[in-house]
Amino acid sequence: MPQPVSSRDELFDTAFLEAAQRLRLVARRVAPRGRFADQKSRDRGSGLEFQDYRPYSHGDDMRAIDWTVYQRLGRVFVRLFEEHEDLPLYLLPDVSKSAWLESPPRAVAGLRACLSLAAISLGQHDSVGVFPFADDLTVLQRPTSGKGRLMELASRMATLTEAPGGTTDLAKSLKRFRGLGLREGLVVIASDFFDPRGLEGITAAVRGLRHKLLFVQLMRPVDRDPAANVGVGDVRFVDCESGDAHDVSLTPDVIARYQTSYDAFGTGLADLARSRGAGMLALDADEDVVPQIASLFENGRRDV
Amino acid sequence: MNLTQLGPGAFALGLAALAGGLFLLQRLRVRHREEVVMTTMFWREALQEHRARTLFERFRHPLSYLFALATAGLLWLAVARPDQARLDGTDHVVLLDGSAAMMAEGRFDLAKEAVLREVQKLPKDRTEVLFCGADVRTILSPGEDPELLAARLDQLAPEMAQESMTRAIQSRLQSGRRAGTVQGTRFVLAGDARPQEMEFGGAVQVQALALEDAARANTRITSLGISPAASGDWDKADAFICVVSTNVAGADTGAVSAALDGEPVTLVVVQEAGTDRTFRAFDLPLGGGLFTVQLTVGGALAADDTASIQLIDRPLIRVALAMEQSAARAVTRLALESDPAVELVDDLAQANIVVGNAMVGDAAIRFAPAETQVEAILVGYEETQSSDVALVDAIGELGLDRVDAAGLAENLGREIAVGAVPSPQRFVSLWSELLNEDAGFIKSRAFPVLIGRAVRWIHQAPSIQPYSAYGYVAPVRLDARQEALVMVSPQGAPGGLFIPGAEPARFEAPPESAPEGPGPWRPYTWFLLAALAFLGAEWVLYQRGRVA
Repeated sequence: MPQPVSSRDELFDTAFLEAAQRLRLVARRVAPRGRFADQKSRDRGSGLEFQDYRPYSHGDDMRAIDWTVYQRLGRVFVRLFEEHEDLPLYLLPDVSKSAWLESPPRAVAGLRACLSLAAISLGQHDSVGVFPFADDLTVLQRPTSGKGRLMELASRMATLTEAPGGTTDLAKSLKRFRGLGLREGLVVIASDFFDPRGLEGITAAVRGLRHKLLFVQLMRPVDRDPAANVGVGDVRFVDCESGDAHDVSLTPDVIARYQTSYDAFGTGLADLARSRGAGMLALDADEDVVPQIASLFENGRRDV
Repeated sequence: MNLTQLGPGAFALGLAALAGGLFLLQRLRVRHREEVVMTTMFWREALQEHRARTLFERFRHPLSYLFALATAGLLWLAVARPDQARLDGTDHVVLLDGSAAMMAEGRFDLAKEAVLREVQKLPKDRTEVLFCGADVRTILSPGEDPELLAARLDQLAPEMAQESMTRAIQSRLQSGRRAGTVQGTRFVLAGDARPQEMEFGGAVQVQALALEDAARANTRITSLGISPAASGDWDKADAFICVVSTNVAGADTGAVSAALDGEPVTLVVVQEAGTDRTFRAFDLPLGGGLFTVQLTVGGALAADDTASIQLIDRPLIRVALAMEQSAARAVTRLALESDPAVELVDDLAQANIVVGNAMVGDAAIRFAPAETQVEAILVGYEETQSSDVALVDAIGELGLDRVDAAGLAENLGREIAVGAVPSPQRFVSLWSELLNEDAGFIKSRAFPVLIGRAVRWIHQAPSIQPYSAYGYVAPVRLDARQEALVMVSPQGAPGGLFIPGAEPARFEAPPESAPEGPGPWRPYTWFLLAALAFLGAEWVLYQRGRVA
């Protein structure tokens, strides 16, 4: 039975927040629309940071003309500046039944990872939206910004523990997400990725998703070594979501084939992330979340 | 192994059925532990690679199967109820004495109680109980429930009849010989009567149950014996009496009084061990009287408070000398005077034995010239004996082996021979030349021995009956045979104990009952416990994940 987090403070304490604040999330590319923030933009406009010169063209802003260069060279050039815009953060925590099976549930680690990333983005004036999914996607929080939103976000996330979800259908959930028409941003999927359709289903699900991706794979060491918990003998494994049962006589040979299959899945998931240019973090649900999130970043910045 | 509830075939068939049934169950059903997991995706992929369609799968979990089979087998064995008592294959026949001897107060009740105790220890399908009254009746057949015996015994009483145990044993042996089952038969006697002399062959045992009520305090005379007098007097004997008491809190339980033909006899305590005592009476005159011993403080059983034994009549042997005055006469007289069995008399008519010259017609020990007698020593024996046996007896009983025949021959210059002739009366005739001083015979140790033994041999004085134990007739003759030791009563008829295979010249103490049975700890109890142990061991191993 899952252990619901009974309060927001259990999910999100002060020490956790302070640690998360030291991280900065820097986007290599941002979408053209939105409010100005600290992110660098592909576009060169009249932003705050000088970047380059170009010859004056009809229609350019007269204020951008660099008269010092004109006096020196007798030619008219205008200044170019980097335009910083926000990187929306879309958090998709897995709240399906499998995520709540264990004790403590790995969904808690997923929510904490999402909260830590949300703290970072809000601190950098990025907007954050929360869209939990199971057999379908729901809108817990539409994108919002402001550092003061953090507690509100935490409170809303805490409500997810009260009603553990159903089966896992990533394809359907992402399809609905696409249908929201949100501006391009960073989509963080915090899940075990144990989709019944396997890697093929995951690949099909993320296909056509124009956002940047960060896979946060929620895992535990026993995922690869089931004999540590189950022992030997004849076991009937029952899928907690679908109810499918498989009778297995646990022998070293069978366990070895299981581990081969599991490793292949992990490799396939990593290859998928690589092919999509997505980030990948295997998050140990039994360990502290913040240090593991910090491993994503180097020198306080993380290029996504 | 003998099974009381199942035959060997049924047992084997049942065991095979159990093994087959368990085998099928093991193959048909695999016990799974259910585990709810996040996904079975990887198990599905792992098993799909190697799942094959087979008509027969390999037999799994043999250890679990063995545990189940061992448990079921032990339970089945317990159902079969093997009985240890059946292993010896002996038939037990308990004979309850219903003769007149059992009419003494309390004897028949004690016998019935002994029968009930004995039957409880024996296998019911190999035990039968016979009542030996005026006729022999079966009161419990083989295979019948021993619980029926008590009610049947209550309806029985001793009858005015002689003992019929002999008849019961004979009949049982005859029927056993016809059926080929005489081997391995044990007769258990419950009573005071004893069967007559019989010959047994093979493994036939006869044992008597002790009828004393051990739970009640009892003092009893266990032994009464007679021996030659320690004083050496020929016409006297000493008696010893053993008294045993189970009354550990009793006072002077060893008080015994004795009398010879009603005349009190002084007893001396010669040994004490707890409440057990041994008494001795010295120099009882052997005049054919009845020596009786009586407990002054009896016990719970009156029958063992008295004992008696008839003493033999053995006065001194009156011997008269009819010899001329000579050195030989003096030596002979000296030898006779020193013999405790001899009383010298002057009147030949009063003498039992006359020692004199051959001319004296009545002389039983005579001295004849060598020219009138071929042998140096001639023995006259009863005509009913053979000469060889008589000669051998004479040499032994007269002590002739002590005679230095070679020395005599050398001294006399003649061959010294021993002969035997039939005669109406016993006699011993010696060469008168042996009495000459130069012969050296009268100065030898053999001379007085010969004279003394000749007196006894000729007189044929009765020997002392050694002893008599409770419940047994005093024997006068021990007859050792190859098959059985038979102790015969003085009357030559009823009485005696038959102990096949025992060594001769040894009187057995009253035999004990059959050994105690296993009680509640019979084999099937151990089988049940072993099955329980297997179940426990399998449970422990299952908890530790060692068996499926």
